[in-house]
Amino acid sequence: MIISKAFAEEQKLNLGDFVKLEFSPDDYKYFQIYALAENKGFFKNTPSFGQSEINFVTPRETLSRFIGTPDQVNAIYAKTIDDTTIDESIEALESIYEREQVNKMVTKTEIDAQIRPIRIPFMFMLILVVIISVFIIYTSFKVITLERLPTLGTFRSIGATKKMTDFIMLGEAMIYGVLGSILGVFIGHHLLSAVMNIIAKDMGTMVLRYPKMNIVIAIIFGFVLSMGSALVPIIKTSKIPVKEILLNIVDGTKKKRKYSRYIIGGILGSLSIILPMQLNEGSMAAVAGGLGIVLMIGALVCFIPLLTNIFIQITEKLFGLIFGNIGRIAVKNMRGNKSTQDNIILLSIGLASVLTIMVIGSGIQDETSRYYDEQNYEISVASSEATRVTAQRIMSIEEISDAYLYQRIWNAYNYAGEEKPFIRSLVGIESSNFLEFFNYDILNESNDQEIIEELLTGRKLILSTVIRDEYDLKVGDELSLDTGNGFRDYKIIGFTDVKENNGQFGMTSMYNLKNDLKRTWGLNMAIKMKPGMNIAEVKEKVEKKLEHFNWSHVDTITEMRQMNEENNNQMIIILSVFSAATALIGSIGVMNNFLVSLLARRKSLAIYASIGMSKVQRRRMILIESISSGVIGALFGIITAQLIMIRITNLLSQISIPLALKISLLSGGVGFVGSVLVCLLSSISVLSQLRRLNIIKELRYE
Amino acid sequence: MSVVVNVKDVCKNFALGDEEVKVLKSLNFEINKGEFVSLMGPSGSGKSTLLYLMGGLDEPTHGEIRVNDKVLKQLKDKEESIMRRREIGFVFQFYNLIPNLNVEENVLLPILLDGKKAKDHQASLDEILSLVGLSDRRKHTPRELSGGQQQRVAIARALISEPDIILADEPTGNLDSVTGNEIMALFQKINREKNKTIVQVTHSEEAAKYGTRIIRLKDGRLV
Repeated sequence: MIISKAFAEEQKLNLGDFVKLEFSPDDYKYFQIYALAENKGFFKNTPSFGQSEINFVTPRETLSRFIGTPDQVNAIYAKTIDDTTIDESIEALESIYEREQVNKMVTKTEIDAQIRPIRIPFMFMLILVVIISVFIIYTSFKVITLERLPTLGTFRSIGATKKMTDFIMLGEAMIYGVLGSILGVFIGHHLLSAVMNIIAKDMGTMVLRYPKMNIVIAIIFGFVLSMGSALVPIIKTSKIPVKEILLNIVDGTKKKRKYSRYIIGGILGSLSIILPMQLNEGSMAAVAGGLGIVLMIGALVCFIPLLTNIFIQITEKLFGLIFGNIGRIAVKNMRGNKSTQDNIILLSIGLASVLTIMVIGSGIQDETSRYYDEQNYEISVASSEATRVTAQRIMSIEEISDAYLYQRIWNAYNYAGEEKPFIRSLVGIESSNFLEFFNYDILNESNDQEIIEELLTGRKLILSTVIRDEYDLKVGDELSLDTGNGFRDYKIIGFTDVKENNGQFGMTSMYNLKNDLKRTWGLNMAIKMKPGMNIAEVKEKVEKKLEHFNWSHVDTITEMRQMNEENNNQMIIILSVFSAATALIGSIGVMNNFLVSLLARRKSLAIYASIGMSKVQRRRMILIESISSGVIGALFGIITAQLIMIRITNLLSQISIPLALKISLLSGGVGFVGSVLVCLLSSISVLSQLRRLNIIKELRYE
Repeated sequence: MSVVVNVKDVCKNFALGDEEVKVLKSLNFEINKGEFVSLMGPSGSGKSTLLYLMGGLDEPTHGEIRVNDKVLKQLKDKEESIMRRREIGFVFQFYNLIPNLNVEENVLLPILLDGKKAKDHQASLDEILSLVGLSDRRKHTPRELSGGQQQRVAIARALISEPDIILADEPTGNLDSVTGNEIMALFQKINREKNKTIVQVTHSEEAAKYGTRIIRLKDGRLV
């Protein structure tokens, strides 16, 4: 047989070793290890705790003889000429071989199941990064159009039509879009390669491969993004009468559509709540959830100027007390200032995105880690051959104080005629002291212990809240379950919020496992050690007791947690890179906005100088404004992130991923300080630009 | 009469590409307390440049300007700023008000910059707003005011610190003739009743008539 390197390493198997495989409870065959394969493709599955499928390769003739079908095959792998003909080929084969199943080697459902945990966070990250990008391009184009205004005025005065000047600006946006997209694809490719190199250290060789068409799609997407974001400032500029441009009397401070912004915000906010409530089933739930978040951010963008003004009004006196009169002037400057508002919006979205990405990553990690931290045993044993005698031998080890015997079955029962298994991970318990080892909370009004005791009597089930919500079940429901050996009626006696196996988890008695599900072999143990014992030594002793068995696992709870964390590691790396990229994009946006704000404020600063504001006072004022923008932006960002968390938590629970996402005090604090620092650093670059301020020029020309 | 402004051998050159343009050429004159001086001359004669030098917003290339016996060139930024808050008031052609502050806030800015409490200056604020005729517009922002009203706010701001000198750069240049005359009458009133020294740059002979003296410039020299 050929097995994977990972499996060989874990089972301490070498080339030439013999492995005993069980075909049925009384039928064992020995296979010799002929080669070790790289841990990828067909051999990618590693038998870490909880994974039950391991692939190996053996000669077809041998296998067909062992399973009693000599000279026969039960599967054929077919290769199509190219990827595009797969579906046609399947159709053709299905029509010829009506009694056979024809499937893709790896079905879309299988891929979806594999990538599901990372697809959702990625979708949200994409949405958030797109929103930030739109905002940055929009604000940048506002400056570009502002700077081009005199040129456009000149063009218009010598006969250019609005369409012509619009076309000039659109042409500029097009060039930025194309160049930016090409550069983006180039940087994206190299960034992806770098991320893959980091991941490859843990995962083995990885090749960066994507259809060439994706490059075209990315460039078109970037182009459309650039054009779309630039369109609003261009349209606004095009509406300015030529006389106003030429006389330089464009008033950017006009109060237009004061209330329409809040009406739009209100509509967006309402839709962000209503849509996910109405469309909460199937694939539409994810779309509606994602859309809900976008709409919610849109609503916040509409309301942030109002909220900023309210915040400033409330804290005006505080600013005066802390920073004196310059603080009072700074806070007055921020009131209704478009650049400040843009900055606060950008900071809010940026920080909310980074926090969301980080919290999703760490949330998955923390949630799985916490499960292991909360258990009251130190070593876990899983063996397909161990018996009660083995268990007794293990318990005779001096350092062990107690052990709990149980069984675990994967993919148990079918319910309501569905093809998928009802419970993916089913634990069968035997004695009532289960809760002394496993810290599971049973969500019933009665005592947890009483429910565990009840579970040992008859056909009873304790199910996860995820299964409860999926099938709309309640305590006392009686279910007719297909055990594979006929239908049996089971009564639900409780629910638990255990997140094990993504919440696809249930419990019954070991008796039911044996009688209804015909599970008569294998054993699991949770072992407690005496205080002060060396866990590595105890583990070694347990392994020694199991060494003559072919398939057994001994893991300490720390190892199990580490394994879990390593499994999540690649996603954490990708999320970290993404959040770093978002933070960078956001910071560039904030810096850009500060420079924009300086351009717009040159005149105001010159006025302040003319009435006696010293350079030190001007610097202080700008620093106070930037720190305050950072503080307000960070506060709104944290609030926005928390609202997004609530939405994502709801959405994830709808698709059976139970994850309570919360912003920790630390990540909130780091985000807060980071935002203020970004503003502070950006304002320092502004201050250096300020040296070149020509006061007289600004004062004399409107 | 005491001299409040003393311009001594003042030259000002500007770099224009590789060339150096001599805007002011060895100017010498004095302005006494209570005078209302109009600086006149054709475009490019250096009138505004001279006004900004007198306000300490720029430095002469050569020579010195004394304001209230202080040599502007020798003052540090902080001292110069304090002087602009307390001893000089500026009024500009384009009003130069802070757009997002209301009338009261704009007027009180020099007081706030001086670290004083706004509430301690309510009486003088009321008096000045009454003088410029804007008592009923105190909560309005500049965008809600006409050009003439905005210029009155600028004058009120220039007066709030009780400065000795008011420097005005074409204060009626952006106003219609009726409003312009109203503003000039206001300046005359301030000059006469409050004994403020006013120096204005103007192209208008009519505006200059409101003053007590005319200083004419041509090609950077007094004529």
